[in-house]
Amino acid sequence: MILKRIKGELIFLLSVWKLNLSSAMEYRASFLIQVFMMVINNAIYFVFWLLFFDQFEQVGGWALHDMFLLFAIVTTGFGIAFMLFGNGTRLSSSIEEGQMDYYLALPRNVQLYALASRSSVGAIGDIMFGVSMFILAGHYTIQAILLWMLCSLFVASIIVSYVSILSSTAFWIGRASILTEQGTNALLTFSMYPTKIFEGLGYFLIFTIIPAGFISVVPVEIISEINVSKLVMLGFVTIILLVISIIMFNRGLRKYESGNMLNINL
Amino acid sequence: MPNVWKKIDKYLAVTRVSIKNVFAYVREMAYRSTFMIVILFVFIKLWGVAFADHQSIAGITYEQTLWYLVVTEAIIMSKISIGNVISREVISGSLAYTLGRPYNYLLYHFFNGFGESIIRLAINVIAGSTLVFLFVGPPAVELWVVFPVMITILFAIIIDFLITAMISFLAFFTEEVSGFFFVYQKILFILGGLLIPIDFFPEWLQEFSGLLPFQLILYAPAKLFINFSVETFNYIILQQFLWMFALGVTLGILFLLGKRRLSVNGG
Repeated sequence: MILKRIKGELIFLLSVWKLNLSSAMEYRASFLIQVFMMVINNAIYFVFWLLFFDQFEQVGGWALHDMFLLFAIVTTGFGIAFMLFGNGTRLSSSIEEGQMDYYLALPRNVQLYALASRSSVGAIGDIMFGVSMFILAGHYTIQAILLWMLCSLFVASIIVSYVSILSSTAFWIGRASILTEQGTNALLTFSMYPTKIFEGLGYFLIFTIIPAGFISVVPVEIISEINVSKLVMLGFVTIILLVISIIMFNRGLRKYESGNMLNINL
Repeated sequence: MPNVWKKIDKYLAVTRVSIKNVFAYVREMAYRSTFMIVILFVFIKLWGVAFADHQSIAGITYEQTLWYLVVTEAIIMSKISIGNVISREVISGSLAYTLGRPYNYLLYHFFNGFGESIIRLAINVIAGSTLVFLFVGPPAVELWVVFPVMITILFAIIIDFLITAMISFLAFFTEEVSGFFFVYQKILFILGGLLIPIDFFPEWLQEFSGLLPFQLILYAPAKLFINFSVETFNYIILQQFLWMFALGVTLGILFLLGKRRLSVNGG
């Protein structure tokens, strides 16, 4: 029974993703420009690190090749997260404005449908950039490639769960858009720097309320050290965040108040 | 002469109204300044480790680097965000109606955006300065230096406005300009000196940045703040005037050419 339900949800998700992709591809030129611009965006940002490591050979034990690996993981993870669940960034405003009726109208998992109902086109550019960073990082063993793929999936799950947790606070506090926006920005910002620079409060923050350490330094160490025990730990953290996000969303949904919007997504 | 004052007063009234509007959302704006705190916290840590073995780099100390970043980050987060409004008006054709109103189109948008810009600048400077002050103490500058630096920031905001308006007016010719805004923003990150002082660049890149107006928007005011001299101030002001003139003339030509191509999407 449960397996049948999971299969049903997966088939539904696949058709939502297919629809999202075909609607994005309808305007082919705009699609390509958005993907290209995201690649340029990430590349220009990486110029900062090229200039930085031109001055300093290493910082906190991290060298340029570690930054290649860090960017390979973080951008691929963010890319997968927002290509598949791109509506995460708008979830809090949908809850605030009582626009969840769209997703309640179908007999499907509301949280999954709400998160997957939009794909970010730029996220495809993130994935492309992440792949090229991984090639430049120079980890050409089968184990490293498999670990990178697995870590990217874990990272994507952590990001989606975190965004969903922040958005779900809207069920209780009302206006949570700024919290979600600032929280997601903080997660991204903290994860794009060598984590070893943080100590004390900073270190505590990135392994608790802003789980940036789990999407940056932990996967980098898993791949560069081929460390399976850390991989298991990362998997465990991913499941915990996923479970918290599901519990929070479902508890919050009971408090949801409709904005009486008459439109229904068909 | 009274006519000129009347005109100036008209635009100042636009700024006053804009400031009043902003105060309705000032709490939201303060919440958004948390990003300023996050990014500066990361920079405090990053540059702290990087400067661990250096007294100074290219003549700039750790403390100066952080105060430099307070100024660049505060400016970038307080720019007049009018690009999308203007380009939308051009694309939809509603510009035709706006042009008939009794004000100069560009001056109106500048003074309207300027009100919001100065409030955001104040909030971000307070947030950033408080954090950096707690970590490294006050900047090693005399208080009066703030006034000439504010003048360069004002001109920096004008230069940025002129470039943003030019990109918006490209919509007369291309219809889609979001990509150009995107690239401009990223150019400011590096060639503007947002993330790293231009003095830390390799020499060839420093020279290249010096030929462009982007360093006058972020780098020049920030560098002036941490290392003030009257000669540098005069040089920056001269450069900013020259670029404002060049960009202003180009913008005027672009606007005249574009207006001929304006098509009104009726309805």
